[in-house]
Amino acid sequence: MNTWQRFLSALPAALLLAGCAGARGGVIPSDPYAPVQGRTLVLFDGTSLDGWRQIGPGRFVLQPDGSIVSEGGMGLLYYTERRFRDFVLELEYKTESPGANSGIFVRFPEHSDDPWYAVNHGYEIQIDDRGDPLHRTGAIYNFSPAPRLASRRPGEWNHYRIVVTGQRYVVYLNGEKVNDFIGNRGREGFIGLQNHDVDSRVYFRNIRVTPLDVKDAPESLADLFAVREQRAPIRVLVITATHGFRHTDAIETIKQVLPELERTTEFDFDITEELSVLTPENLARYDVLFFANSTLRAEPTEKTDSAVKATRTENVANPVTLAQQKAILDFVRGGKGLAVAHAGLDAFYGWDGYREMVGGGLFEKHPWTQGVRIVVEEKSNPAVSHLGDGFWIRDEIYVLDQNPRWNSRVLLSLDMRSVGVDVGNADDSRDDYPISWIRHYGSGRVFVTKLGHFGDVWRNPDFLQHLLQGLRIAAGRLPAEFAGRRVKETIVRDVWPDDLAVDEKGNVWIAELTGRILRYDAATKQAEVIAEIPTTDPTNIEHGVYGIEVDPNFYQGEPYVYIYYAEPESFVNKLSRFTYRDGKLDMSSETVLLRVPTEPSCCHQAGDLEWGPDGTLFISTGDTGQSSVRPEDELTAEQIQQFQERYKLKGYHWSRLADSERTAQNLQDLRGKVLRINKDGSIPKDNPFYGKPGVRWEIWAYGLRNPYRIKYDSETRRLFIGIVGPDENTTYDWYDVSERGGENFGWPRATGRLFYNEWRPDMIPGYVPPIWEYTYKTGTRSATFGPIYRSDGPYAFPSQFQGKLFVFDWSRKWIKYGDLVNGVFESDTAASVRTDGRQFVLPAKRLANLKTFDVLRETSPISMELGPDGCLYLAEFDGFWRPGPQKKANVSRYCWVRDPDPSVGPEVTVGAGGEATAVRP
Amino acid sequence: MLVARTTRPRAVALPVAALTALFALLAAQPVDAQSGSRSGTRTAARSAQQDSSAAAKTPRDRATVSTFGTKLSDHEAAALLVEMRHLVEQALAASRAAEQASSVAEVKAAADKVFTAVWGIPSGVNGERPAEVQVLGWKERFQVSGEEFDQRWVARYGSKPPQITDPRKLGIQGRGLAVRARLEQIADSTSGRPAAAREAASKALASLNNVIGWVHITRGYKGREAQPRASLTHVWDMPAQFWNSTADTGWLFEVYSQATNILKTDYAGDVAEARKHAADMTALLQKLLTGLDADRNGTIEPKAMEGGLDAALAQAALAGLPVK
Repeated sequence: MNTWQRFLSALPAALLLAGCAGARGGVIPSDPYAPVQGRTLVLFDGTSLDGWRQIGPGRFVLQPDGSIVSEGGMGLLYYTERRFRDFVLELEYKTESPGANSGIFVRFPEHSDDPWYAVNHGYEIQIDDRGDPLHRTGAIYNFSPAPRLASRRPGEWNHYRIVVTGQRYVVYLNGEKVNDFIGNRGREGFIGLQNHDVDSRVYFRNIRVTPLDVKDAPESLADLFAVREQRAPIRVLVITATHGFRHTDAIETIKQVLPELERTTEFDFDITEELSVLTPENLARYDVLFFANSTLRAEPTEKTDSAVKATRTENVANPVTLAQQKAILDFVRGGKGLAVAHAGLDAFYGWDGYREMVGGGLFEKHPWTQGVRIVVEEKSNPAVSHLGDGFWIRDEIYVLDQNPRWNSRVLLSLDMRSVGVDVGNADDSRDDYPISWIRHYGSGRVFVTKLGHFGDVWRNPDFLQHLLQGLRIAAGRLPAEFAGRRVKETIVRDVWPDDLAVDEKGNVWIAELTGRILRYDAATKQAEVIAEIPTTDPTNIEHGVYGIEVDPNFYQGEPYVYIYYAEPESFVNKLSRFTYRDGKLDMSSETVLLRVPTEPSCCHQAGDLEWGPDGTLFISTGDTGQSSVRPEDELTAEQIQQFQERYKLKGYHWSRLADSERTAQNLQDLRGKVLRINKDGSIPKDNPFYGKPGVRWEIWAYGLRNPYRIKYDSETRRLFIGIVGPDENTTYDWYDVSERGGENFGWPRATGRLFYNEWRPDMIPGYVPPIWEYTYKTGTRSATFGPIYRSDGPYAFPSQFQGKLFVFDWSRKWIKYGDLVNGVFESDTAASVRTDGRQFVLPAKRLANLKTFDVLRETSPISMELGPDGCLYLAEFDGFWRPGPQKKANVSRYCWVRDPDPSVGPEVTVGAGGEATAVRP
Repeated sequence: MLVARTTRPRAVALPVAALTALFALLAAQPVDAQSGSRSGTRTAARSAQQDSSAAAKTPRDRATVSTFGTKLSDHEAAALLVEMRHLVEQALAASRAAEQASSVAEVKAAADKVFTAVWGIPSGVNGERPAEVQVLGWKERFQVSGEEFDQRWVARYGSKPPQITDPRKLGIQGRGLAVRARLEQIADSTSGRPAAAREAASKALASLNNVIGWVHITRGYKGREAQPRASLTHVWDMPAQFWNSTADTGWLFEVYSQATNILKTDYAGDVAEARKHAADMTALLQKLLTGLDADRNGTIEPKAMEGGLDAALAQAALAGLPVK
């Protein structure tokens, strides 16, 4: 049987392993609260300390509530009746103060009168919220750090669940896994509680143990990852040589751990610091080349950037030569594997081939060296399938200079909630940090993980499982879905698009603010002007053609195009239906479906069109307000002061946007609203205000300033409304969601969740808060919604994008995507916004669960639609009242191309004058 | 008759002390509610002391820029005011008849009559089928030509006068705008009228504004460019109740909305539902005639949020307009 045959015969077992992480640790329940089979022993029932013995100074005192509390110290209370071998220990504890110190000792093997005996011969699961990661609550004291502090505030009970099998110690605190450690001390012993000092009062209760009868409990890392069945060997050349920073602790651990694992797995690791091994002949002996924290430098060429030369390659005596570079690229391109861990990304600056091979980005900085939460994005991938939805780890997180997401399959990414926004990179366009990814390079496979800064990480079972499975994927021994890549192409130039619609055949209908209507034909890839709508000069007032939609039954006998525009002279905004006939819009066919009177003044016309349920049409309208937020130019300081004194509003956010009251809060006016009508212009009887006397029944939602772009999700029946907010340092742009209709989103009495003057939420009828607001403080902004991405088209984006909401900002030029958590865009807002009972007093900051899709450079996103092919179509605007002088405006699209090799040209063909280009993240 | 509030949000819950103070202020002061002159920006809720101080220090002139109605004689203004009442009565008659209509088309015809009474132009909707209604352009609604604004603005958008300038062709709303201008002149402290007449004119203004809305056409600024601005900032310090009422933008617009709704609804032959909507329209018309007791003190007073067209007529007579 040759190697390949051996591999094939081993494949089912490999697949089995892929779904059974840490096979020998499988006794550990995935649900930390799940009952464990076995006979549970109650060590302390709340009434008696029978069977327990106090040693050393201090004591534990029984409390009337069935708990015990530590006093004085340092001493130890331990259960003397029996030793425990494999078991689950559960208990509850609470402290009286943040600095209270205590611990739970397990497996100290002998009776002793000395409390230090347990410290030196067992393991202590620490209680001390003020300690460093190695000595804080959740840590295996002195041995294994807790990546995060999962304890509750002093005075609140905490639940510890400590699972001890073989030499594996897994610790859950309040349902979160906070430690996973392979030890080497005694296999059985006593259980005890520490009374640390006189200032540390810690309560315990409900102490119980369930002994386990575990076969093949892991006695070591090698044991934990042992492969029982026969597999073809995977030969890995591990490079730990460094030119840059040397992660000594990690590298020394690598040199210890990988040989251990080699004993029980199919891996053959050759670990070396010698770069001369990087020859074609030698590399041919291996399946995978593994750069493990190898901060290597590449020999520069004449083309190498001078700054890179100066900062990265100078004084490097033996850089990786050009010949070696070629050998490495050829090795991978030829069908072998490359694995890169942590500082392997702090390497090879100036060598474009390596940069491309690892996904495009190299180390830029490491703002976060701390416990972080990692999100599992590709839950079915065997390298991460053991990690559930996510996990915590203490590590150093790199920020790369480019995002690999757009040409890779991201397996793990950083949960921004775990690092906050005031730490590290506060650039709101840098919110996406993949942690691990795989990709093809030529015929080879690349596995990258950013983890592995600390030595203890390389002994962490979760990390090692991730690494070993990643190496198997890189070796081609485990199947995995690899990346496609995002391709962006311009499909229409010489256009000044304001809004667009994509029909079911992929034809794109484009409206220009100044009146031209164009149609991009998906078959011919040509765009032609099909109408010129007589409208107004938008200069300084924002009027013109606002929105365009195509009838959903366009190809079923209703060839209608719907256009919302300002009628010149009267300045009545009209929604009209036109018939498309013989390649043009028949202007004589115009049927006016809705008239919204307005005035020729600046600004906030909005005007987006969106198909709703049952063939109805949503129209967003702006408040057409000209109010400034603080109209001091009209009112004297004395007037304002008198007003504030009258209402006891000193120190409150001040505004009196009376002009917008007449529109946004006026239910007899169609402005500052989302409206909903039938296709023939009549009023749907299921509109929220239908039948209410004296209210315009077209109104769907109100209290809106400039709802420039809206999107309806037919699956969840929710309408998403992006609100462009006022230009004031204390104000916001925000995003609203209408679930049933009839909502009042508060403008001009509130901006986001910031309420002006005397207004409170309960004073605003029907008030519904936004799902996210963001501040003006970091620059201008204009919050707008793109589509809710759901597609199985030929160019559909991967699963990470399915169901995601797209948002974009015309001012800041970014496009982001994310999803709602508990009905909102979860952000640090929840933690940072405080209320004094009448208003919110701190601004929202940056989102945690929105990731940047792209940031435009020369243009601004102004309209975004999902095409039937899965591509995202984008109207890119430039200029303001008129096209920018460079005429960069265009219509483009983003598609996901599934060819495996980035060197292969895009499958997406291009329109006249356009060319497909892979987007640099 | 008091008409139940229908459309705008419920009354707000200000602290009791604040409510008491606000209503006391509103009741105690002449509810002139409208700019007293072309150069001042007095407000309804502000004290006389506040007025003089504010008028002196207000940096920009925010009074209406329209001259519509400023040349009316007292007799002409009184006649227009009376015509407004006649139009409301005609609309009421049509609406009440629609409550007994035998077809949807009849109800819609009544709604068209109400619509026409409001704006002076027909809705353009005929028969039972729903359709979008006609609207006046901004110049007709505010009676400006454009010359009132920045010349850069005029260069882009022109300065043709409105196509309709006769208030008698502009329905209840157009007449109301014209009469308002005359009442503002009488209420102004420089008018030379006796104080009692000026106070009555202020009260008539407040009631009239409750009907046609408190909105003025003024100048707004985009950068330094003066543009048209439909403004309520001249009553910026009104209490929250005012903004949560429908008086700020005018009860007439509730009537207009109801008529428009009826015209744009596909009743599919359901005349009973159409009749019900007509009954609601009747109630709204009645409210703008009689006003409502917003502060629930048992009387409808000629002040913001309370007085209707009848109160305006009564106070206009006290102000010296020859109302018959």
